Amino acid sequence: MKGNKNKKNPSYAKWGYIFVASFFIVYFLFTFVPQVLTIYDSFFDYTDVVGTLETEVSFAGFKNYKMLFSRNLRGDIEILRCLGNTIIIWLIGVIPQMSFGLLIALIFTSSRLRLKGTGFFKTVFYMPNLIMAAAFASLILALFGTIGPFHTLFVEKGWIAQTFDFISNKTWARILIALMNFLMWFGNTTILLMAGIQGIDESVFESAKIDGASSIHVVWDITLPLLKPIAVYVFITSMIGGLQMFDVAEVLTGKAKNNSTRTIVMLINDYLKVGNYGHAGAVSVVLFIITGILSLIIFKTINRKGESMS
Amino acid sequence: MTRVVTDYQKENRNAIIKAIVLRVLCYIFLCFVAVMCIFFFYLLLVNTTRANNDLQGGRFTLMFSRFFNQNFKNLFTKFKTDFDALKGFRASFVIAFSSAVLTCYFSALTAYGIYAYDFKGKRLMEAFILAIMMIPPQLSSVGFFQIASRYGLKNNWWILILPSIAAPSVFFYMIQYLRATLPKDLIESSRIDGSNEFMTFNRIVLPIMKPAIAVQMIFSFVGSWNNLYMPSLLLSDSKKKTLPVMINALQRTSWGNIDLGCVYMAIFLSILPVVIVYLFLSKFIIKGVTAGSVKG
Amino acid sequence: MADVVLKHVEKIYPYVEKKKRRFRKSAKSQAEEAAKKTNLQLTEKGVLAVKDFNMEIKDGEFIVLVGPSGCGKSTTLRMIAGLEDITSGELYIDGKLCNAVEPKDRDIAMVFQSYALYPHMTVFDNIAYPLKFVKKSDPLPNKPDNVRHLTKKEIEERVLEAAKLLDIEELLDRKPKHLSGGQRQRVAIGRAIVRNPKVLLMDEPLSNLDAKLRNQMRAEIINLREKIKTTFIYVTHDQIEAMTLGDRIVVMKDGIIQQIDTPQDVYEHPRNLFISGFIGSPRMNYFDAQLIIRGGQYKVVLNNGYTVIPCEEKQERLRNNQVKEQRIILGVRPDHIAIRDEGIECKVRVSELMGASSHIHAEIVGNDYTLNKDTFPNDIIAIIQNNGTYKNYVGKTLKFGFNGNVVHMFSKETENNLEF
Repeated sequence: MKGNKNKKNPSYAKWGYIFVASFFIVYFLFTFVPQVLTIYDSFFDYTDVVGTLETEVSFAGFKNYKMLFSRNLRGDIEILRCLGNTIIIWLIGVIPQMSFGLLIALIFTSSRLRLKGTGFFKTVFYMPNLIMAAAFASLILALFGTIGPFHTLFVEKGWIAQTFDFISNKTWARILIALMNFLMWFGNTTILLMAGIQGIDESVFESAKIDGASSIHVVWDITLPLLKPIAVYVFITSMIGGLQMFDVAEVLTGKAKNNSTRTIVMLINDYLKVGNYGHAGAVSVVLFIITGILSLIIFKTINRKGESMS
Repeated sequence: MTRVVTDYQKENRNAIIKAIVLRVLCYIFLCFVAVMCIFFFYLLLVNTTRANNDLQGGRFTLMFSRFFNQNFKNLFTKFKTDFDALKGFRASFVIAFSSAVLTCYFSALTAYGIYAYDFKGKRLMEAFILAIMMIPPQLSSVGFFQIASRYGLKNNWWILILPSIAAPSVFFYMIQYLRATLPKDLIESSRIDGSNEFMTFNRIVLPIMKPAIAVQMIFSFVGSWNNLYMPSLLLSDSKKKTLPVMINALQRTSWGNIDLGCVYMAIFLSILPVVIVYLFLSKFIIKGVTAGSVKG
Repeated sequence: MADVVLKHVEKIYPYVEKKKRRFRKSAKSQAEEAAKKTNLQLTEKGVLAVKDFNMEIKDGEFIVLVGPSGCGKSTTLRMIAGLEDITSGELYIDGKLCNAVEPKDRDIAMVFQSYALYPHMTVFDNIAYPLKFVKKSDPLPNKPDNVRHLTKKEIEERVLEAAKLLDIEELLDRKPKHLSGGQRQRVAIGRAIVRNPKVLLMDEPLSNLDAKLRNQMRAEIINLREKIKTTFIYVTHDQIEAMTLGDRIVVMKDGIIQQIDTPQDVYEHPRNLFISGFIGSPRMNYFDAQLIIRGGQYKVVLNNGYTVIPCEEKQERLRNNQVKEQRIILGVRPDHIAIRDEGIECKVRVSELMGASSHIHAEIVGNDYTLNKDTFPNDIIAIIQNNGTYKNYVGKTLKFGFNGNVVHMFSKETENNLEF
């Protein structure tokens, strides 16, 4: 809507442009251009210039992508392995995260139980979310590493052999990472689900009470179905975040070269460190596409939820 | 049909017992989860008080020892080459604080621009900003890193700080807040009072947005403080590294010849500032979590 | 169908001691402040929301709890439903003491102000939901007291029956968000009646509807009442609903019952000033007056000398109560004031044509004769029947009078009706 330029009604529209300019300029310079560059890079072959100061690279078309999806020396497809690792670790973490989150949210909002001290518990449960993931992982590394107290304790009890190493063990490393993710995020999930439950009209629950529903029936027939949109939102946001997993896995297993815990972003990171922008770019683009599809699903779910709200 | 009164008393008693048992079970469960959350950090605290020799032995203990001060001193003296705590704190603080300030100010500015003014393309711009929230940061990180390397911008704190001016999720939070709390007449009346547009924003709108800004300052600061990915790529100079990068560098195949007391102390001090802020503002922070996320 | 008895039922909301902060007042003083706005009584334990509620509701009666916001009517209803704990007193439903009984075991149903339909279920599922929990006795040869849940077919039958009764058969596949307010209301009622409850509770069900719909639904509720014989307990703040729907109405204020009577009785013999003003529209006229005794007869004298002699029934009641001479507040309903040759001289300011009648607002010539506080202080309101021809009285000075059988005399201190 253009403002008219007469004296009575000065146009303030131009101020709109001025105010938003900073955002778009910075976005363009620091995000958009690099994004284009990333995609551009993915079509060039950087493998020859790795480790050198050369900047001349040859056009490679889809070669990088083909390489990504072809088997390497060990016989597996690295990107798929990393993708698999990422998803498996995320899955191991998200299941307890959502279960505990839901259970605790139900307990906190139950009018039957009317628990006291929920504020205290909420504070404790949310705290891990703010802990530096690198610090947390470093802590776990120290505690569960071969010199660590847990290692010594379990050896004493005869549960593990002296030579056993949690960090390089394929299964346990994943479990430890998933455990950290779970602890860091279940508090957040609890709070979001609580907000969802409290958003349901109180009289709907009262009506169910009068209709004869027991507490379990109320949860199953009413609370859960009405929570579905929020639960889906939390689940998929968690998946998108899970795909970007880096800090915890890198700090815990970066040096250990544990192939079962290498995540996609760790892969990108490795390529970047040696200057292989071609492959790094290609993996980034693949990650972007997967994330895009998931975001579309959220978008659709939220729109549907918006309808049911009106 | 009249029932005998004593039946009701019995039913009543059973119901009460069931209720009590359920409550106790819930409390036990919640305590168990709480212990899960705190346990590792309790161990962390315990280990910051233990001497290196003790820790090298790998003994598992829940008891505090006496070496907190010793480890603290050592961290800043003997351990400096492995982990320069002071420099790390400085780097982390400067970057996190600056990022938080810039993010909040410019997101508020942009949100105000879209909210208060009508101009061509306004709706498109807002939709655009919301859309780009979905793009993973890794897509730009490759190109960003490349540019930074090529133009010698590595080890420069500014490239970590400046991009925070354009933060779509903070923008979204701010514009939601504006829509809920700022009446447009206020802007009109301040114009009539003679204020120019920037003055209106700085003197009138910003104070109104204080709660939103406070919440986002905290989240932004914490996010930047804890961030490992970009700083680890871009900061290789040990004088410029932030705390997460330095902690990452503590990873070793053999922990035998390192002062473990200092390691734990380093980890402890890195998370301490955030924990302290959190303990004071926990209710406020938790409220802020839902204020932006859940719609309707 | 069941009778409901309440004996000395009370509800106290205890003071909740929140975390003490330096500049925060204690919970008690906070509650005191809040209560000052509502005139609720404060006890040591907490705010008294409902005080000493006593009532016997017969099988099949339609009872209306009516009163202004915050008078305790909804709280009482919720205590009967089991959604609020009863602080003290006893509640009997169908002869059973129900204080500690769960709502689902009381065999009651409730229609909420917001309808409280399950948003994710279709209309059919909404109405069918209570039937999922119904246990029917199905005696078997070796198990005479066997009970079972209803079969799908039985549920379907009953849902269709209820839907037919409420004329919502075409809506069964829709979800609540696709229904209008009136339709949602019917679904809520359908869900309530499908179980044939002993008592049907309704909490301001018509408040969210527009005026036209409200009139329509009022008639439908009366209709419904004919078809299903259950005890109804209905809460509203609208005195018209109370008067048209109830067999007996309970007028409440500040947690205390003011009067329990048939609508007729409450209208003709209000027990106190509040009831007289609350029931009946337009509101009763009030005059500053003197009650005197001359020659063994009670007389009411207005400040300008206009005198009315209460009718014989009222005389007797006043004598029985040994009422002395005193200043009183005299109440007369607008429909009882007529244009006369002799009476109170007034100048007509406004004449509202209501169709069959006109509402006349006239100002008394002279000063300070009335106590109508929210209109002009010297105004009286009279309802005049037009009888086919509309006369515009605006600007004219007329005399208004009333008879001795329509006067309501209230004590100036206690505000109680002196006849009772």
